[in-house]
Amino acid sequence: MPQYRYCYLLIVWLSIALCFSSTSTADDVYRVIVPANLSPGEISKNRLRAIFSMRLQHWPDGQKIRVFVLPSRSELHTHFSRDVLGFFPYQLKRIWNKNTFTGIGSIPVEVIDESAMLSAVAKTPGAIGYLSFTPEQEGSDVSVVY
Amino acid sequence: MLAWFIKPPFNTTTAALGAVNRVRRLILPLAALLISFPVSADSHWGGYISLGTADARDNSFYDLDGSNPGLLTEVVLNGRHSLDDRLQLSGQLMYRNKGKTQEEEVRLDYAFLDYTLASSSNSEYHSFLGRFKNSIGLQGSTLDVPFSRTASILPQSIYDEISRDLYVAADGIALQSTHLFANGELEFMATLGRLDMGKQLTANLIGDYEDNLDSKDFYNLGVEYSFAGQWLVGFDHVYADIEHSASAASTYQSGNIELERNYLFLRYSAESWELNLEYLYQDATIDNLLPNNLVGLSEFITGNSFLPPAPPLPTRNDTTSDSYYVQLRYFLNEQLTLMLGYDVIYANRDDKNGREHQQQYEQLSQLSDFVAELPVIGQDFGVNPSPAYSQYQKTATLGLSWQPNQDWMLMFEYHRVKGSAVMPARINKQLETERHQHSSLLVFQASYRF
Repeated sequence: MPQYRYCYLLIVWLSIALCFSSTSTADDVYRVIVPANLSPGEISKNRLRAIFSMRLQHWPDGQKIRVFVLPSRSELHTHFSRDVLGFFPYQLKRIWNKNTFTGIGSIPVEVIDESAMLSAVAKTPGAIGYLSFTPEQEGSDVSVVY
Repeated sequence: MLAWFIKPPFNTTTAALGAVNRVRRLILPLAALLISFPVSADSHWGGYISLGTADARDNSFYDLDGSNPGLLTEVVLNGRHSLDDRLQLSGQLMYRNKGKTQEEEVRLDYAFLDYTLASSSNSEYHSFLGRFKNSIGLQGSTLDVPFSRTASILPQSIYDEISRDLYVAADGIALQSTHLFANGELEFMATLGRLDMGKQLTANLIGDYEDNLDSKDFYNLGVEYSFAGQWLVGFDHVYADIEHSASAASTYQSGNIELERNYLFLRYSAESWELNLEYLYQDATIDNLLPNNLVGLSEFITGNSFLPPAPPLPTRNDTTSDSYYVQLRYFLNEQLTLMLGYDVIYANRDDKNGREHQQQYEQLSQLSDFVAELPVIGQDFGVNPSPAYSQYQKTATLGLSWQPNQDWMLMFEYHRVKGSAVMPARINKQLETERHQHSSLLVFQASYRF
């Protein structure tokens, strides 16, 4: 049946594309930070994904999670989303848009660069963010949790 | 096209209905309360403006006949305020003007309190009170949002404009929970309440603004599982019981519609492309709600014994329908997205090509003509033929969107349509003989968010 020929072609193309669509996992170049006085419990990749997609909105002690991100088109955000969270930036953006326009859930606060990220996370209760470097640990206002 | 179903597992009690009515009275005060909060770190305000034009050829989609391209306008303003770490207030106002399938209106899209019942390191439980969006497929809760939906005009087989009030929002209470597992997240939502239905729904389904549709029972159950960020699968179930009260001038008799919809969906997201699949199985049980002209014709024939017996008019119609779409999006670069889609609806899965429907109406139409021409006692009941293609609709879509930055988006789409199952009843009656089996729709839309 000629009309099914296109379906077969589509299935073959999708199968090939799925085989070649794996992503790299170079997690070690990213640092996830929270305020030094926060006890977030164990932070797994899966939990990070739920936190940054705003599906988990509270820390175990009931404190609201306040998520900070870099601009969607920044290189660090793109790589962090893909390599750590397993999301492509367009997926995260869609989830945040859904939260915004359904009123369910929250949206992250966007900061302009890593210096602003460090400062915002340090002074915001319940905050979480990410950097491409390890901040100085001694006397620091933030702690690295992933 | 109304229909799908299984018997409801429970009936809402009088007490529950009383609670829903009390919730309805809370909705406007909630919205007023939200507006009264000043902008602060605990609040967020935003929205978007979307302007578009649609040029319909040979169909009545959006009630545009092709002679004049119609304007499509959406303006949305939303706000959210955190009263404390566990309690949040959200609301959204919407202005829509999308042809005559939806009258120009300003509507309170949602206004609800979101209370966090419990949270742990791997789960969270919320309750919602007020008016909120239902959990419907991949795109039901954001079908008006250009920055979230995958097409300017979503597949009408699943997200049809004419019955949007039957699934978009509900007034009542809901429970939502999120659970983390080793390889993904499970989300669950259960809603009990009543539908937020406007007069336009009555006009679209029944053909008359003066008739009244009243949402009796409504519930919505939804579950979805997101696997490793890239796969999303889910199931949503909707049950609605709607009572129809005919006005004096109505062309239909009073009756009842019991509707069940089951949505199955899947999304796979890759770096440069995305696949969306959705399937909808609907069962509609319609009691009475028969067209007056058919009833009149039947009674006339029964009352005149010299005429051949009239075809029986069932007072209860149980119709199941199938619909699905497949949509492939390819990201040409960070700004440009190409979309290919194909969607299908069969209004009656026992008569997919509509031949039985056409034959029935041909017979009824001939009978009506015969009765109209009878000497002395003749009456014209005006039963017209109805084409087979009114029972299905198949649409191929090609779209291109351009998002130069996160605030602006331009969408361009071409829809090629065969069949006319998802067209408003009011339009059906006026343009029944003018509708075409093949039609097309060209859409351009520009959106700005703030």
